[in-house]
Amino acid sequence: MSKNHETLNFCRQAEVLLDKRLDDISLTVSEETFLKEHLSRCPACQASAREMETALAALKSLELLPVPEDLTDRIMARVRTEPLKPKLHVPLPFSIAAAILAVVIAIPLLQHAPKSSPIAHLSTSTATHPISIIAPKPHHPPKSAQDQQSPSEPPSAIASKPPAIGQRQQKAPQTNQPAANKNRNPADSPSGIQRELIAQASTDDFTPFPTLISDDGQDHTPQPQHPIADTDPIGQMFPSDDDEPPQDSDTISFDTMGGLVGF
Amino acid sequence: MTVVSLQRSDSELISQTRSGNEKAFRELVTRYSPIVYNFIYRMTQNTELTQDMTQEVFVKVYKSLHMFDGKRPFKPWVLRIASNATLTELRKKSSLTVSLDALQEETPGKDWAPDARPDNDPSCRYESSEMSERVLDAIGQMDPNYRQALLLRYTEDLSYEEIAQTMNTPLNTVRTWIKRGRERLKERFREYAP
Repeated sequence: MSKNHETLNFCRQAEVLLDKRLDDISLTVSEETFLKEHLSRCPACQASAREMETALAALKSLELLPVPEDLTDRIMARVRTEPLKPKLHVPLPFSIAAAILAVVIAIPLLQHAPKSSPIAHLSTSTATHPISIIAPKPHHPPKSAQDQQSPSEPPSAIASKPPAIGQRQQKAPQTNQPAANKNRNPADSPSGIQRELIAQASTDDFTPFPTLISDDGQDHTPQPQHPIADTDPIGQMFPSDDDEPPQDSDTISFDTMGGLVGF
Repeated sequence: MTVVSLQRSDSELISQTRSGNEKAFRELVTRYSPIVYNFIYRMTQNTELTQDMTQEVFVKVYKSLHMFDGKRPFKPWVLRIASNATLTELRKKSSLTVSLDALQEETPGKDWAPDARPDNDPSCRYESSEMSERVLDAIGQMDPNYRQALLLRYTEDLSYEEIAQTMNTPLNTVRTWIKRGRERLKERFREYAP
């Protein structure tokens, strides 16, 4: 091994040790001894170490720029317009863990729901009875132009009309729904399974209600004669005003769901 | 008569600010604005931008104060907000690989660029120190990550661990950035050497 090569190795070792020292990593006694001896014999490493010391000393001694006098006032003026958020009591990791836990619990429940559950039918029967193809014609005309929800109306407009839901409750026809069903053209009306699917899809997506069948066994499932927005599931959720189910005492009111519209 | 002036601790001021005490936050601003202001200036080297960003940083500090863990030191937390804001601004305004000098040449008078340092401007104390000017010039040409890591280490005196937390970067990456930053700084100083 040539002397130059040996010296180069020593220089590299010295450089590594200088870096360690700069990184606040303490050197062993033998490392310190080696470094001291090498620097005393190697002018190049000595100069390099000196340059580094000078540069870092200059960096550390950077002068402080004075802060503009009015800066604090400007900051405080900005801050006054900002509401102070309350202290978060639940640490974020716990919140995330709780959310994950909820999802983990919910998925198996949905997958292993009993067959009688309205949720259980969705995974099997929707493949043969896709909800999207059910778009029956309205079985009676809308009461007024205002009541009519145009199918071409943007879904957002449908979803952003919670007052209309309240209106539905007031002007809902006090007729017997099964009686009204008798007058329907069977070809226009969806089959039982189709109606069930629509109700299930609705309840599954948007409401906590498991079923819309009243205690006396009558099916108050919302009838799918209303225009269905093809692109927006929220649009599918809300029937048009002319198809409002009767507001019987034992019927679950759709108004209960109104709160979710603006959510 | 003896006048005893007791400086309230950061945690006291933070607690009082959370309770709606505006004066307490003002005291925090007074205490930390020189640190934030100078840190941002050294990163951007633009006075106007520094003033705007310092305001933004303290507004963020105020809005995020409820998330601050009072058991930890306040300075690294504030610097983390300043660091994020500064890097975001630098990335927004220029590519990370484009030096600030190049930016100044490309966009004179547009957006922002490092301040020209007029020799006769008495309001700028940096002219008074040739060494400071050299340092700013040298770090201004570095990759912003190297620059920031170097500043946090050698002007703000943060530990490597604190820098890693502040920059949200692995410790070894921070070590590499600082090492490379030091080398760049040394090279630049060598250029200035007679």
